[in-house]
Amino acid sequence: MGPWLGYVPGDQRRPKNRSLMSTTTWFILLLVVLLLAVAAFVLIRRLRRRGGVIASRDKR
Amino acid sequence: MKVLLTAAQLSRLPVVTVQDGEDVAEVRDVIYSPEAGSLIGLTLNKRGFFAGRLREVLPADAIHAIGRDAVMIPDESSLAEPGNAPDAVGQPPSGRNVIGNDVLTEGGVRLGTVRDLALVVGSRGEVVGYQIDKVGGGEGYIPLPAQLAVSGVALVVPNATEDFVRDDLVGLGAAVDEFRTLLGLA
Repeated sequence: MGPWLGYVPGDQRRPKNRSLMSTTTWFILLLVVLLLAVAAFVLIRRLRRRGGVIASRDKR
Repeated sequence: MKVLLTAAQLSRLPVVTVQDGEDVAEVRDVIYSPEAGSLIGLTLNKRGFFAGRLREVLPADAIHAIGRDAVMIPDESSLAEPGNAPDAVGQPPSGRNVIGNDVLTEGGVRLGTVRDLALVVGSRGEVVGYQIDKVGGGEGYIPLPAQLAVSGVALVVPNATEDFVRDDLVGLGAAVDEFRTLLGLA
């Protein structure tokens, strides 16, 4: 077996400049954050469109 | 034809012109006079899923008819700029949304909370009562003019109102006349 992600068989130490998360994981995390932001935007927009029943001070 | 509707059913209805059938807006807020029991006007949203509030408002005088599925106006010029509309519609008072208000009798008994407004619609809108969530659970209707005072927090009603809480809109229709007779308003 050859080296895999900087891991050399027999060497138990983590390479010093290796990131904790791979690029794919970062990408997925970014997508999730973006999706949440869009969902929040849509929700706020929909909630702001909801109307109310306003009692006027008009005596007509 | 006259139809009994709640304000929640009126909200989001399309506003359509009679002249050319254009769908120009949708209903947002229902503004009414609690003393006179009349509809004063409507504020509007633009059409479309993401569209926001429409600047123009719709005074009750400019409404051609209100039906179960649409609010009809003669043409697009019926929509008024806030400055040209009556103040109650152009600049609706803030903090006067009655939904969620506590309903209290003048004797200090809490009947429930306001869930909605009941209107008879047809050519114009007439407010006939409030839909409430009763203290003991379930929904009920109280006739208008029932309130002695209304704010964004509480609706104060005469003690007699307690006897006129009805369980459905049909019962409300009869209770309105009976209640008005009792108050000497019929």
